This record gives sequence, C-alpha cells and structure tokens, in this order.
Amino acid sequence: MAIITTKNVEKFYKLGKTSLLALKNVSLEFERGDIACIMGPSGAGKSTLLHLLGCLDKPTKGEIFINGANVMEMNDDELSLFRNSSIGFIFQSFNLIPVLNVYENVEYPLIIGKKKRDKEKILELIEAVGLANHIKHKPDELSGGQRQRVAIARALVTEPEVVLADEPTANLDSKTGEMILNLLLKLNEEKNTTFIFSTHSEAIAKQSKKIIHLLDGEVKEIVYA
Amino acid sequence: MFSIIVGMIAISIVNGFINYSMWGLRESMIRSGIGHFQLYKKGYLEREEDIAFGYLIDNYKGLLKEIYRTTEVSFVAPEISFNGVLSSGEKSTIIIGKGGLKEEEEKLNSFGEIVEGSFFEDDSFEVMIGEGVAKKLKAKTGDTLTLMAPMKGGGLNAIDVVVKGIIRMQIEEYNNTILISPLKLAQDLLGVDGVDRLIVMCKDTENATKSEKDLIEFSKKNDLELKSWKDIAVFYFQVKDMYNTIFLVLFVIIMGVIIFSIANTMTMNVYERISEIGMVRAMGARRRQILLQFMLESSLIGIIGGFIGVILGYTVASLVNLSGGIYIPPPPGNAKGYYSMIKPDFVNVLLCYLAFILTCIIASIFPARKAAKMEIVEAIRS
Repeated sequence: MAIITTKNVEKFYKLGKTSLLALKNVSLEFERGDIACIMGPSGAGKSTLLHLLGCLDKPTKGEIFINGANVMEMNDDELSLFRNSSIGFIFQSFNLIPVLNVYENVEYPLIIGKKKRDKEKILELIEAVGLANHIKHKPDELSGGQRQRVAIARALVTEPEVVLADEPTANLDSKTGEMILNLLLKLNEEKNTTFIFSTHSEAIAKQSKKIIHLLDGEVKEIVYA
Repeated sequence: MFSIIVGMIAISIVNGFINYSMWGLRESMIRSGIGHFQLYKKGYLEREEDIAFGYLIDNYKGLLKEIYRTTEVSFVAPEISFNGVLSSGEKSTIIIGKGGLKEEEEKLNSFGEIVEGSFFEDDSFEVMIGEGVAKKLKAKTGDTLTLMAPMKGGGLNAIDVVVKGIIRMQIEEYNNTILISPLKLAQDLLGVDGVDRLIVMCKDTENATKSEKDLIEFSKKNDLELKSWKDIAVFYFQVKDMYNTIFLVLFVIIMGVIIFSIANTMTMNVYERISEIGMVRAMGARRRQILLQFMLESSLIGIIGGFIGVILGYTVASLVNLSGGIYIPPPPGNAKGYYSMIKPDFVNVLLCYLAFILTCIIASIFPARKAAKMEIVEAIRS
C-alpha cells in the first residue's frame, strides 16, 4: 500500500482578479522507503506539490491520502497533529530557530507535539548527523552544512514516516551537499523513511528510486531507477 | 520592556508620593487637635449657637477613667473651646481658644511645631498662641496679654495670661486664630466646670476603627454622641479624591503608552519571525499554540519588566527617603512646607503590577492572532 497517494490534484492561486494554475491533474503514488525526486524548471510547481504532500496547504481540487487518511477531510488541528507525528520537513534555508541551540532546535518538534523528550534519542540523532560537539551552539555559530544537518535531525526526531526536503542542498557547496545527501540516504536505509525531494540537483536525482518531472504544473514523466 | 520598566517606576513613585502626602495630610489633621474620635454631650452638635455652654460634660473625670478602662486608646484629652479676644494693649485679635491638659494637648498637637518657648503648665496662667496670632499682636514669649471671653451666665470675663509658647500649626487659618490654654484657666475664664468634648486618640489611625464599636457603646451608655475623624476631616477626603483622580489619569495614560508600545513591539516581533512561525506550524504547532506562545512572551515581558520596575521604583523611593525627601512648598492654605517621602503602598503597587501584566497580555492579542492566522506556505516563503 502506498504511503502517499494523490488523485487528480489541482492547485490554483488567486492573483488579484486572475488565477494561476500551479498544479494540474497530478496523480502520484509514493511507497514506504521510497526516495523520490521532483524535478523541473522554476515555476514548474515542485514546491507547491511538496507543500501539498506535506499538508502545509490543501489542493483546490483532487484528493491526497497519507497512510489511507484523506487530508481533505482533516481540520487545521488534525493536520497539525498529523504533520507533527508523520511528516518531517527540511527546507533550503534551514529555518532553524535562532535563539535555540542545536539540542533545543532538535528537541522542539517533541515539545510542540507534547511528546516524550527522550534525551538519549535526541543526542543519538545529533551524533548521527555529526554534530555531537556542537550541541550548545546556536544556529549563527554553525556553517551552512552544519545548520542543514541540524534541520535533518529535527525533521527525524519525531520518527516521521515521510521526510519532505525542499532543495536541501541548494545553499550548500558541492562537497557539503554530497555529505548531506549521503547522510539522508543512510537514514533512509537504516529507518526505511520515505524521502521526497524537490530539487534541481542531478546528484540527488541519481540516488533516487523515482524521478518525477514536472512542467507547467503537470507531470510530464516519471522515471524509475 | 523598557517602557514597562519606566512605567512601573513612575507608578510606584507617584503612588508612593501620593500615599505619603495623604498619610501626612491625614495625620497632620488628626494630630493637630482633631484626634481619632470626639465625644460630645448628646445634642451638642445640633445645638443652637446662642446657647453658650449648654451642653457640657460635667462628669468628665469619671468618664475619662471609664474610657481608658473599656477601650484600647492611647489617650483622651478633655477640652473646652471658646471664642474670645486677645489683646496686647496696643492691638487686639479674635481667637479661637481651647482649654486642655498639658500632657494630652502636647500629644494631641504633635504635628504643630513650637517655634518659640514651650508648652504651658497646668494650673498656671500660661498660654500657647498660634504664630499668626503672635505676629498680629507682635507678641513674644514672656509677654503678658489680656484674654477676654463671654462667660456661661452672660457678661464678659478677662484674665491676664503669659505667652509661654508660640506654635506653628499646619493649617494657616488655624495658625492665625489658635490659642491653647490650661483647662482650669479656660474653665475659670468661662465660669464653667465641665468640658465640651473628649478627644480620643488611638495608638494608630489604621487600627482606630477597632475602638469605634466600643466607643459607640460607651457614648450610648453615657448619653454622649460620637464623631470620627472621618466625619470631621472633610477636607482630607476632598483632597484624597482629587489625588486619586490625578493618579487614575496618570495610570490610564501610562497604560495607554504600554498598550501601544507592547502592541507595536509584538507586531514587529511577528513580522520579524514570520519564517519561524511558518516553520513551527509546519512542525505541527496548532494555531492556538502560536497564539499562546506570543501571549505568553508578552506576559513574560510584563512580569519581568514590571518586576524590575517595582524593584527600581522602591530603590529610587529609598534613595529619595534616605536623602531626606523632596521639599514641598506650603500648599494653599497651609502655613508651612514639608519634606515628602516616597512610600509606595504595597497592595496598590501589587495591583498596578498585575494590571501591567494583564495590559501586556491584552496588547498582545491582536498581533498574536495575526501570527496564528498566518498561512504556513506564505510564512515559510517569506
């Protein structure tokens, strides 16, 4: 059974009196443990699709099922709870909380979800992303690669079934980008977490089991590795 | 937070200043002859003005003993009051006189300042006169003056008295007319044996009401009527109302500044943290969690800022008090200025502190709602 299914999903944005079609008739399936990559030029609808898959936004038409649950039928509180327990996010600009240190940033999703704050598990994750010596450091004391690693640990701390990564290596140099990608692949292997990337990066595409090409909001091609 | 600290300092100091001023005014009235309670013969207060000395308490010595026995009072001063004329030979002036016992009168007029000489002795022909009276008559201590007053049975009596001391009372009008004589001298002058009032002084004003019930019972039993200082010192309550209004206006202005300042700060805070709000919502925070977070942050600003303000306010007040206070020139109608201390009332300051925290929370509602209602995708993109 697919962990995420989209059926005829469409998304319009209203821009004054006109409306912009961002996604058109998108039907996809993602399996548990998948490494999928959404590619396409700027404006193709990659981020929009990722936001819909992550329950950050709702489609204008169509349906999205995650683990069999219809996202369209959930209210805001249910979606929040769902995001906290089932989905992890990694963004291009890291989006760490500047006043919190590495440990606190990783711990934060557990506080939001009122979940048990297992110190050992948090430290284990921080160690897994190679930041054991930077636990007390604030984001502004870390390099770009280190910040993205904090974001990865934060995305994984609630043990989500799906991690959505929006251009995770775009702001990093190639060496750091490669290191981050290897880390994500390792975590996919160890925890069977589903990773869905939105990217321009060929390096990420090469490692993906499924590549979805978008153009002008439509799925043009799906390539399986 | 700065505006809250400054606001709380200002509130503490203004409250302390008003509190001390009101305490000073109240005590100056009570300890300038009014006392905490006054007991009169029943009917005295409604008496006809032309019936002189018709309502005297003749058995006052026995009553004094009973008051001391039945109530917890500091002391009781028997007094007889009269109007008269004091003459130096060259000049004369109208006086409002009262006869009393030395020890009790000294304590009863403890807020008056003896500027020359000392208090009279009982069973003497010595008197104390107000500074204004002395000025009018160009009299000084040791001078002999003639005191004239209407007697009980009619006719005018006159006695030569010696100025033993000159006293400066707080109220100027009082200062220009007051004469205090030994009780015996006043009784001899007026041709009476009794007194027209018993002035009761309690240990302190805060606990005076505890004695009121006993004194009411006592007055009923002895055919007397009772008046509290609150009934007599009408001026005090007028001034108090005025000060309370000033304080309220100031409080509202400061609160207005704080509401504006907090709302502005929190709105800026929301705009600066749009991306963070988006991320936190993406991680699963509910709208009400965001709302609560911003309101909590605002209340913390109020709690911490207000607390610092209270501490600094009390520190400033202590420094002012240690330096001897702030000199206040004589208010209208008063004979002398005074050094005002700053003594904030703890309960009032605590209430203001709580109001500050509440204000901070209220001021944060609008920006917090704005943050909570933000679309996640738009927030993350910003």
